[in-house]
Amino acid sequence: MNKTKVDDINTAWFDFVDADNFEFKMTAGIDENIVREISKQKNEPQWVLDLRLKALQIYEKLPMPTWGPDLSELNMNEISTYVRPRAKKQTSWDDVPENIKQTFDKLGIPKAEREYLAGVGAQYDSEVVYHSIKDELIKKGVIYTDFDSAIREYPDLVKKYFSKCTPLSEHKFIALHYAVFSGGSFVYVPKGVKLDQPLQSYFRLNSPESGQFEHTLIIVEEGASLHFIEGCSAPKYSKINLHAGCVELFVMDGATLRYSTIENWAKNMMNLNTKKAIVGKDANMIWVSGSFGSHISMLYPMSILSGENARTEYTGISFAGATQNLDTGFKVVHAAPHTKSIVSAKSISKNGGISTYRGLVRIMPNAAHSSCSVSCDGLMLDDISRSDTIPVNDVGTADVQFSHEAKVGKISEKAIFYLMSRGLTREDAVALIVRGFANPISKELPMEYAVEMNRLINLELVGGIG
Amino acid sequence: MKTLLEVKNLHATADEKTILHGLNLSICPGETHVIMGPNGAGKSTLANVILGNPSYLKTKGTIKFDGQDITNLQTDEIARKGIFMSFQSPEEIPGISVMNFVKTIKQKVTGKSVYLGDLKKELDKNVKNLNMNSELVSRDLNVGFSGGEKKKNEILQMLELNPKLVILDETDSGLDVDAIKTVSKGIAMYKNASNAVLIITHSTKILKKLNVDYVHVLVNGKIVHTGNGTLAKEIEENGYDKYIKKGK
Amino acid sequence: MKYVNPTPIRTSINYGINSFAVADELINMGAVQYAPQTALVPTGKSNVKYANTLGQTFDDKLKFAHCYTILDSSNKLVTFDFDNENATYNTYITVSENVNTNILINVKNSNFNFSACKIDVCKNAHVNLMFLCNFDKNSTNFMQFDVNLSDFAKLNTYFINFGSKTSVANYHANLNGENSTNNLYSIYLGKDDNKLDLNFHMDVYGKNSNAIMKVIGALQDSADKHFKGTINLHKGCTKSVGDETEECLMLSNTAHSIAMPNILCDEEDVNGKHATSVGKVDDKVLFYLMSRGLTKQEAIMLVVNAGFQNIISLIPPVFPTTEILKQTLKELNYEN
Repeated sequence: MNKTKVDDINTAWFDFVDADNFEFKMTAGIDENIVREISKQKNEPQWVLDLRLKALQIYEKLPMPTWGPDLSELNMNEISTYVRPRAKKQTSWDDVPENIKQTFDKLGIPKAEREYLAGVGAQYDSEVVYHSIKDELIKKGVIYTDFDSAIREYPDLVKKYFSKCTPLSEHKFIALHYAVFSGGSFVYVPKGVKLDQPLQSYFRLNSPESGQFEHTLIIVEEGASLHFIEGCSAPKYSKINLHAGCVELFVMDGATLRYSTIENWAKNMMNLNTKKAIVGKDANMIWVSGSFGSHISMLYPMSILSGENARTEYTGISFAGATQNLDTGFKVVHAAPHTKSIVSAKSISKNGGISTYRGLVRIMPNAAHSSCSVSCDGLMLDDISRSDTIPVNDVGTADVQFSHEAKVGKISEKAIFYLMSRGLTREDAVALIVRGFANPISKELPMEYAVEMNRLINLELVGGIG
Repeated sequence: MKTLLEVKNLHATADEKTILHGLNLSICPGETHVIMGPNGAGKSTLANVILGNPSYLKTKGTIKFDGQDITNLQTDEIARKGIFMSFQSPEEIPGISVMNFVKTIKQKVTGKSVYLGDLKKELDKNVKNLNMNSELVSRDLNVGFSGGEKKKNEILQMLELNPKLVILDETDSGLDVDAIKTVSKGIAMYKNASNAVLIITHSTKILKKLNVDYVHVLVNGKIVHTGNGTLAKEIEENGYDKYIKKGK
Repeated sequence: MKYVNPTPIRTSINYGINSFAVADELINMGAVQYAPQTALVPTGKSNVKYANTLGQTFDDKLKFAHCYTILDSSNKLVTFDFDNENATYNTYITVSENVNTNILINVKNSNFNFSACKIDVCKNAHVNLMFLCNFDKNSTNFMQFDVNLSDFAKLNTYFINFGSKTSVANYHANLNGENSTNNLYSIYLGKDDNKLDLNFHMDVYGKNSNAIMKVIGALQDSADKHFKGTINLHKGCTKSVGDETEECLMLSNTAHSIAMPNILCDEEDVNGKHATSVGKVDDKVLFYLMSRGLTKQEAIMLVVNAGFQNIISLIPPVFPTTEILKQTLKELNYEN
């Protein structure tokens, strides 16, 4: 029997470590004192502290999830929830401390900014160390700043939207997030303003046994449009790191928001992230997602189609290798008539990895004339991995068109033979097919990310019979 | 003249059933050979076995190509030596365009870098000559292609790779007039004194515009009779009965 | 109170898919066991070729089963009639090696029914098994089926479900043998405020096996349906096929459909797929049929019936197909 042994994704690219040279690192664990200390360190207004404390209470009451992967390796008593790097937020890379600058240089951020971005936010551990936005956008009224600054400079705007998309009690790790959140970006695009270059935030977790809890809040006003790119990575440590960030997206009537993510956390990361969008009338929310890293991921981006004619699309791929359990999926709620969703989720598992698609489609009784189509594809590259598809389809009205299809299996031998008959080695053939499998996602990403993604899909070539 | 392809006493099985029972075949450069035979004779098997398809097991015999023994080589090694098979049902590979695929395989076979700009010009020329729809080149490989489009795509790849021996597996005679024209034209463009063509077929429609040197009749996994080009017409008129008896 | 018919894998209760809860007394009777095989202990084998009406009183605990072994292929149709007003049935059927047979389990009920049925299909036996359920529209019914297939065993299960206020079915097949096949065909029609909970689960262990589920149904009025289909392709079941399709026609805006078609896969060399669709009858189709003189209601029922026919046409003629057809049309108020 022919098997192709496929190596782990080449993480050497991301796996460089900076000395844990922080200015302040919170003691491990989570309690009221720690939450108050975080708020004090940030000099926050009272309402934020109140919100944190409320969230902490909710966190302590809510149970751990009774479904999904086993999270018992996570011990909050060993995680430091706040690590401040030796750096203040800068607006010029020259002013960023050398070691941190080098980190982002290696990740290609400053170069990307020069070449094709309209603005960049770079977060190192718990704080943002760099934020910039093109002047012409500021003139148009676009706000793109780190979250702490947003609380200070635009309190009314923040108060209006903060936690309204993802409430504190949604689940245990959202409550934890709201108790200790730090860093992240605030984006506001005024009515009618269409950005033709993307904004990007990059999150780098450097400190071992710590967590990153960034909060991204984006408001795209009526008729406006934005492409936002989120990248994240962390070096590999032997102890657990936690990522429990939150992304709240408000896509107002007629607006368009495209949210692209490439997640490449290291293999010791517990990635319990929450992303949600509320999509208004005639608005369009597009998700593009590539999940490659983390030890355990529970990631279910969600769109709530709340206005008539709202639309959402999700294109995602996850690649689970050895020791990885990636439990991902897309959730959509059709809560208005004439809404439309298209979901395309792909997963690859190999070397004992576990890939699970756990999705939800809920079509409410008032969502007449809506349509939804879901397509899931699971590719298994060897016989020790696992691929599960667990969708829930909840339809509450007759006047809909809903279809769902899923496939799971390995690469067809016929396809491999065809490609080999053209002179490609077996390994090349598998690589070509896997790249082709991931193509719908890499097609949606900006070119540099697509190249990055192909580099992440790096296959070690061991072919042969038996 | 030095033979290009030399098959000696080839026995092959699939799913533990013996399909080829001692097949012999010799093809020299510049020649066009045709293999015909009744259903189940082993025509498609022969093509697949020459290309080293792991679904078939060679139990006896040898295959030599251009002086080298290729009996135990893997499919891709055989392909890189210069044998090209045009599939009956080419596989659909989503996510890679025809153009990018051709670039990849060309680089693989020649070992040299191929530049997209030059390739595009060359492809456009071939596409035009083959009467193909030019937008096929930017579509995903064979995905959603009609039978005829898939066939043209195979011929296009053949022209781009310019192998020493082309095996056309045409045992499915479901091709339309348009596709038959393309195959004929493609072979005419490709054929010269130093390469060779082996056509495996049921029907003679594809042979009408070609200069056929030898026609072999394959019955029960063996070649039982060889004649020149006129044999094809005779079979079309009289069928295989004469040869089936011979093969028993 | 406890959840009945829970999903077989860790999944959030918040999705509302495990929503039928029952009183404790029913739990004590074993009515809510997900894996029913533990509930049945044989009373002793009786080699019977044919059995008709059997019944147990409501008070009998569910511990013991009546066992039947089908020894040979001489009987074209083996029938079991379960039709007491309040009943619990426990049946254990073994189909011997190399036997070809057809089994009809007729379940009728006017009030409460709980039936547990375990079927072992031995090596190379080919069985067509039909559960024909004709319940009174006010009744409550719990059905558990547990099926085990040996090497080369082939089982076609036809599950036809009409009526009943609350209908909970739990079907579990173990494709233990190599080259075993289970085709499960099911049709359902929900009306009024029926609650229908179908939990079909196939565990595939043997190589070259086929686990196929085809479910076609329609929901009217305020019917509420929960469908959970799980095909679990275990490590080692190389070259097996798992294929699940569910089509649900929604005939009213107050009906509710939840479907959870799962494929769990631990083996790469398989072909697993599923497809579900939910929606109303296509407007273009309606227009075409109405342009031929049918009223809108007639047109809809024609389409629904056509959907059901896709499965009914697969039923071997040894079964009372005519009655099933008549019943289907009656249910759809489709007079002809």
